[in-house]
Amino acid sequence: MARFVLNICGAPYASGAPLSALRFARAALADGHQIDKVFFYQEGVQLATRLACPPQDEIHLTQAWQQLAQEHQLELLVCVAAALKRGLVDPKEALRHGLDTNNLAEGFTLAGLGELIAAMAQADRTLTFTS
Amino acid sequence: MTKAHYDLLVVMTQPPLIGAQSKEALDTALVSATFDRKTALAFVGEGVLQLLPDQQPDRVDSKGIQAMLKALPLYDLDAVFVQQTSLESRKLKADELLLEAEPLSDTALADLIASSNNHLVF
Repeated sequence: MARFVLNICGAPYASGAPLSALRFARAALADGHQIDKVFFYQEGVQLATRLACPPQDEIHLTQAWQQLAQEHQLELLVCVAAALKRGLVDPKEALRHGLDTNNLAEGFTLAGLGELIAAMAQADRTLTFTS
Repeated sequence: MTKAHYDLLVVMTQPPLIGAQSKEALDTALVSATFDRKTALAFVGEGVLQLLPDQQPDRVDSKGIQAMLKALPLYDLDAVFVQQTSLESRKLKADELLLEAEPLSDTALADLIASSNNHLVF
């Protein structure tokens, strides 16, 4: 059994990163491996919006990740600096920045880069998904 | 220096002024260094252009990473490498860069990659 950290840097739909990572995570978990943390960075943070409404006959990547995370108690961490820059905010950050709404989907948590670094130090392998 | 073993190697492949990519790369390297992880930075391909001195990103409403690069020693991040062939193909020399970076042959770069536990490529 190996311990993995997933670092997702590519945007949903514009890149295949979140889908490839999802499929890897499913396969790894099914094989008895452990996913320590899933970190969303750079354009990858866009997955964490609760407002995405893809067509019904297409995969809803945000919901797919939420479901996998719930089934396996995965931590979905979203880089706070990258998120704020791109308009992804939780209620706390919305209040801090005087915004009239928030859009971070349930199951995702804003976190610092330190969480990625610390997780990488513990894991056997970190996989980055960019394209 | 190149024989050392690093916890994290951050590879910079992007030129200045094309977005937040390199800033986010450098942020990751700096956080890693502050977490006492043995961290190295390598500039390869177009990434070597980040190291040119006298850049004025503010002239095009941008914020480069050059000021941050100059502050690297303050973060105890002094393992900075640059790909020699990428410098040469752009008619650049290691001693005209904005900070001290050790030029590496492609073989030495491969050794650096092989001896690093984790890699993040930006």
